[in-house]
Amino acid sequence: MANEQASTLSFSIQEAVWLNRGQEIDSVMSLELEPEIAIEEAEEHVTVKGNLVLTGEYRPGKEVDATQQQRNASLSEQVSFRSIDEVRISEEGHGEIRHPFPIDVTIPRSRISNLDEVYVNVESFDYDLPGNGCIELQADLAITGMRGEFNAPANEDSEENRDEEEEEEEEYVEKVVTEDDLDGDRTFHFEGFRPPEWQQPPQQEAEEVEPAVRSEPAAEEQKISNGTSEKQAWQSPSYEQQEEQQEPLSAVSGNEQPHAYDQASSEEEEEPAEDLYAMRYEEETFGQEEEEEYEEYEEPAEEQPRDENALYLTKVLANNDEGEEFSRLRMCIVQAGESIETIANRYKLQVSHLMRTNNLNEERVEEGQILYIPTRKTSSASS
Amino acid sequence: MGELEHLKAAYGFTKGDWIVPGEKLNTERGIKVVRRWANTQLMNWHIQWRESVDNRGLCLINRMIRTADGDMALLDTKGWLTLHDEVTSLFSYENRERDAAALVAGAAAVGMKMKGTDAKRPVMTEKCLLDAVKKLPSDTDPVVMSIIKKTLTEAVARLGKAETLPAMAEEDLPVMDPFTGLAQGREVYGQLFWTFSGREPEKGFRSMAGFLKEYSGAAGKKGLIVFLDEIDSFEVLSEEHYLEILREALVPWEFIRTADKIEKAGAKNPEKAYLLLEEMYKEWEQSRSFVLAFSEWVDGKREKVAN
Repeated sequence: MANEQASTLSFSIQEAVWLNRGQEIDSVMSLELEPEIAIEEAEEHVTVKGNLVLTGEYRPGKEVDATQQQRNASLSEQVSFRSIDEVRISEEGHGEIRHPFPIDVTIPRSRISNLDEVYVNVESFDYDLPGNGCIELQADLAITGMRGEFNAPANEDSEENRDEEEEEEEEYVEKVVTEDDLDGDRTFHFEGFRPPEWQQPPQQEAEEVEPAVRSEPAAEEQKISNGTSEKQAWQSPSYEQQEEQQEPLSAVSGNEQPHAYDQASSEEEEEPAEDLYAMRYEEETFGQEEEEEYEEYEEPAEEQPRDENALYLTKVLANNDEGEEFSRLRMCIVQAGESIETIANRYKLQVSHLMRTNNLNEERVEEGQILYIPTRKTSSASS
Repeated sequence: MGELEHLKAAYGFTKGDWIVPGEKLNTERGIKVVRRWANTQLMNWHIQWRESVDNRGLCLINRMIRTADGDMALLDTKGWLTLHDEVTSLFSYENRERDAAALVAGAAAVGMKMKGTDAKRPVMTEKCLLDAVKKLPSDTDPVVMSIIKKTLTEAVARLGKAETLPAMAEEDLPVMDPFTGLAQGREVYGQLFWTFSGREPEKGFRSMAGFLKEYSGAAGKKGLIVFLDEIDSFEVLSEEHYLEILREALVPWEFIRTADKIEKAGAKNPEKAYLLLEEMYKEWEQSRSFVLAFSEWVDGKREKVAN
């Protein structure tokens, strides 16, 4: 005899994210954990698959021991630089964090009554900074909209039935954590997993319901740089002034100016030295609200082939959110000089809403305080 | 006497017809290209340069064809001109790296002895980068501006990395005819025929770095290493030269060039700007993989020496 009730599959994750060299953190300004997950329905099971994407902003720390690092590093380590789509420094000089945690959960079809009610929610998350280049993240996740099945007391339970149940339990939740295959110095590991609350047997063996954990190469951050075909490049002129013609092909007059930048630099006007960032991020010049721009920034779609679209980069860097399918949790770390009003304005919220979400009794926040930013919960998953 | 008749007489051709009037003519000794020189000093430098390279017997080059009187240039009513063979078949570098490497090493060797020009090493500063962005119209497409500003940060970082590498003294840098691309290599009778550009001589390795970058993009990392090993085998270039090449490859020339082009395209043409950004992206990636492969190769050389 089965007892049905709406239920939630909850589990926790605990991960450590190491940023690349040169991305040390002085302080974290905001963090957001957002599920980017698709739900696929097969005949016998439903797969909840995708990434939990950690994004945020931090104030980069000073390069501690940069000289020493340089001294110890090989030449190739010293001079390597980032691809344009790897650049994660915002226009205000803040570092940007983006790290996907792959999630893959398989649920028997029979445990889901209505696919439209399946949501993946981040119920809470917190972080710690054990070292300058590391963020330790802990999050509680919930998959809602499932049907709980609880067997009646074991009076009719045969040995066979129990075996079957155990087998079913084992295949019930398969959590596949895809190992991050990004840079060698970026690691994270799967540490914690809790079986669904409703399925935790009241008696024992909670630990026995272990998820199957396996690694597979993540295509997520496949570098587009690898896409250059060797053949095509034999014909690609790429440096110097390409418009100039070769001498033997046509007669040209001899007064080209190949060193335009040399001249530019020698014609420098006497201007007061400007602070790089001050100039670089002149808001009045560019008329952009940087905060907004940052929030709208989104990574390229997975496995987008490089040559598919000539405007790839533009799309990658300019992409806006296209439909939020899952609820997300966002937090903000109050910076010096910020008030609850400024934060509420930034996120286009009412102060009262922000206070309610954070259980605040007064309209006062302090530097370093963490505020949870309420976000909309939109549509459910599509199959 | 017309220009053509003058040319035929001066160079001793019995047959000669314009293919492109004033530029290219067909003679009984093949197709010849006319190069006019507004700057006599530049012409003299190139005569000297090509003769010096030619004397090393590295490969065939587009040297100045001598007149019937043995002169390398001809003065007519329009000024000075020189005449050159035209070769259009492109050289295939694959498995013939040594031929091209001999030219590159030989050009550097000649360049180290070529003195007496006003050529200066091209210089890029952070201010140049910032100015290039500053010059963009204020109504530039916000997406374009956003990408440019994000890239500026990394361009500055690239420049910073370049500046940490040891620089050679100005007087020790070679002065060479700038490399313009793989297409400079042509093939005639199964041999490499090198077409020098005839541009203003360049001090340093900027264009050589660009050439190697292009080579790397075409031949891949493996091909590049073979090519570098071949160049190195001539023992013309030392580690300090290689570090100079690396410096030049690190300097984000493509960023500033793109910003300039976007400025010229104007704010009302964002589509053009997007395409320019795409081009920059490709070149940036080419620089990135070249810098990595080249620096690893230098690391490898250091290890060999240490062992």
